[in-house]
Amino acid sequence: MSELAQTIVNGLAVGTLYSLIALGLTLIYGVMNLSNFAQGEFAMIGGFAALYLVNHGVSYPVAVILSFGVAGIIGFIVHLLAYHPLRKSEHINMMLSSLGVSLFLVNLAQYLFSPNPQVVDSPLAGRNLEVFGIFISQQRILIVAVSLVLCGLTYMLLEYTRFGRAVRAASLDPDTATLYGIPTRRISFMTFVLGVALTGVAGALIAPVYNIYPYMGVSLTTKAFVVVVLGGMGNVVGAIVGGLIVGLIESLAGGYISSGFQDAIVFGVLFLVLVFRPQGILTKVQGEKV
Amino acid sequence: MSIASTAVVGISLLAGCAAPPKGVEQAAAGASGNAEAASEIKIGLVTQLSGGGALYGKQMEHGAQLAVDEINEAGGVLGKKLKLIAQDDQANPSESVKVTQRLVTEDRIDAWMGTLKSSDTMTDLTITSKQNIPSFVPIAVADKITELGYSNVFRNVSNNTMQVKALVDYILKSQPHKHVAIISENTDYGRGLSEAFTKAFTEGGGQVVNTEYYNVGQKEFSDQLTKIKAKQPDAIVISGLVAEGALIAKQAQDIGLKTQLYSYGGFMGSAPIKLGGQAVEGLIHSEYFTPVKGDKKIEAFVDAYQKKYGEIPDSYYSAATYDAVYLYAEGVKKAGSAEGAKVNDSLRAIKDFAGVMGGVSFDEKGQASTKVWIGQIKDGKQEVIYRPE
Repeated sequence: MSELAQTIVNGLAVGTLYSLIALGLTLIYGVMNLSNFAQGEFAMIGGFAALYLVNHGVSYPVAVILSFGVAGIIGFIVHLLAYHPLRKSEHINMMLSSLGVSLFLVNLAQYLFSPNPQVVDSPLAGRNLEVFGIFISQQRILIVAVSLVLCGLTYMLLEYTRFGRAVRAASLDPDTATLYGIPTRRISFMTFVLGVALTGVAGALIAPVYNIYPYMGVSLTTKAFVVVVLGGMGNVVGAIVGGLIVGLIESLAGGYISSGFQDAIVFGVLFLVLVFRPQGILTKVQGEKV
Repeated sequence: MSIASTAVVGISLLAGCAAPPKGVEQAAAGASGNAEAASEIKIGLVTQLSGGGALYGKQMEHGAQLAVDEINEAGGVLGKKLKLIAQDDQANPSESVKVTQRLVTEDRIDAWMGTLKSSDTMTDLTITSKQNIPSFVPIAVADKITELGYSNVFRNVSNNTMQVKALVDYILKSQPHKHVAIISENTDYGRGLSEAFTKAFTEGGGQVVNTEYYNVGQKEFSDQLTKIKAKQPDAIVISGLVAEGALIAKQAQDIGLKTQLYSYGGFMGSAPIKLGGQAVEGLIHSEYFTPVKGDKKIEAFVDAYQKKYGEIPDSYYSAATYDAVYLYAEGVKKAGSAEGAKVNDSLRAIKDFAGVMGGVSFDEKGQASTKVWIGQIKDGKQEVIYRPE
C-alpha cells in the first residue's frame, strides 16, 4: 500500500515539472505554430544560469528567480535571430531552425561549462519529509509548489487579462486578430519569451535534484512533446493536466510493469494517442487553442 | 569554482603537456643527430585528448610520459631511448582507427597503447595485430578484448569478471549483507556486470532480491528505488557509472532508503564525491588503484607525478599506462630486441612484475592476473579498505 502511495507521489512530483516545461512549449505552439525542439535546451540554460549564480555567491532561491530573467533574455535573442526572420516563410522552416538552435545551445554550453555533469547546491538538498511512511524530498516539494503556482498564474494571465485575451485571439485566428487591431507579432514575441522563461525556471528547479550538463535538455524536450500531444497542441489546461498524467503513467509503468521498459511504455502511450485521438485526449473541439 | 579559474586550469594543463620537459627534448635531439630511427623505440598512445573524456586521456598520457622519461634518464632500454607519440582519437571509433593506422604506417611504432573505450580498443587491435605490434590495454575492461585470439595483446588491468568476483568475494567474506538489490544500467556493460554479480553472489550463498534497470542519461530513479525499498534489501549494488550512480545515491536518500551501497570502477577518483556529496558516503566499490601511503613503489610514483604535473594521480588512468610502459621496457630488455614477435613472447613469460598497481603475470591470452582492490568513500575521501596480498 505504501509502495503504491509512494509511486503515485513520485509520479505527481515529476508530473508537475513536466507540466511546467510543457506549458512553455504549448504556449509557443499556440501563438507561433512552432514545434520548438529547443524547449529542453532552455531548461538547460535555466539550470546553468542557476549554477553560475550560485557559484558566484547568489543564494539559491534568488538564483531561481533570476533564471526566469536569464532564460527570458536568451529567449528574446534567440527569437530575434533564429525565428523572427522566418516569420513569413513556411512553418517547417522555423521548426528546422529550432533544431539548429538546440544544437547551437548544447555546444555553447559545452564550450562554456564543459560537458561534465555539475552539481547546483540548494539549501534543501538531502533533506526530506516523511508523512505516513511516504517520503518526499524538500527540493521536490519546492518544485511542485513553484510549478503549480506558475501554472496557475499563467492560466489566470491568459484567462483574465487584456494580454491573455490578445494571446488567445492571436492563437485562434491571427488574421482576424490583426484586423481587430491586436499586434499579433508583438504578442507572439512576448509569448515566446514567457514560454522560454517558464522553462528556464523549471531547469533551475531540477538542477539540485538531477545535476546539470549540456545534453540534459534532450530528454526534457521529448517528454514535453509527449505531454503536449497528449493534452492537445496549444491547449494550456491540457499541458498542465497532461504533465501530471505522463508523470503518473511513467512512475506506475516503472513501478509495476518494468523499469527497463519505462520510457518505451510512455512513448507507446504517445503512439496510441496519435493514432486514436490525434487532437489530444483533453481537447473537445479542434481549434480551441490557448 | 568559477568559469575563469576552470579555464585557467585547463589552459595550464594544455600548456603543461604541449611542452615536453627540456631534458627529454635534448636527449631526443642528441640521439637523433647520429643514427636516426634505430636509436629510438617508439610507443604510440591512442586516447581521447580533446572533448569530454580528455581529462582521463591526459592522465593516460601523463602516466606513460612519466615512465618514458624515468626510463630514459636511467639510460633507456638496450642503449636506446623510448619515445612516446600520443594521438587524439576524440573517443570516436573511426578517428581511433585512423590515428592507429597512421602510427603504424607513418610513425612505424614499436608498441601501441590505448584507449578509453573497449569498443574502440577492439577495432584498433585489428590493425596492430596484423603487424604483430605489442599492444597494451591499460584502461578498457570488457572481457572480450583478450578473447579475440590475438597473440600481441596485453592487458595490465583486471577485466569486468575479475572485478565482479572481487566485489562478491569481499561482500560475502567481510560484510553482513546477504540480500541485495541491483540497480543496473540498461546496456551491455551494466547487464554484463549484474548477470555476473547475480551468478557469483548466488553461488556464494547470497540472494539478489530484485534487479531494476535504467537508461543511460536517465535522471529520475524514484520508481526503481521505491520498488527496491519494498523488497527491503540489506544493500544495493549500482551496476553503472558515476553520472547516474551519484543521482541514484541521492534519490535513495530522498525516499528514505538507507542501506549500504556497492558499485564498481566508475566510482573511483574524486568525481563521485563531487557529484554525490553526502549521499555516497560509505559507498564501497571495486578499485584498481588509489594513491595509498605506506607502499614505497606507489609513493615514489605519486611523488614523481606530482612533481611533474602538479596534481596527485587519484585514479588508475595514469598508474595503468605508467605500468604498461615499464612492462614493455621489461619485455624489450628480456627479448634483447624491439622486434614485435620476440617482445610478445618475452612479455608472455613475465612473472610477477612489480607495478604500482600490483604484481603482473600475463596468461596465454594476455590478460594480467592483477588484483582488484576494494575502496570506500569515507569522510568525503577515497580510502582503500581491502588490498590483496
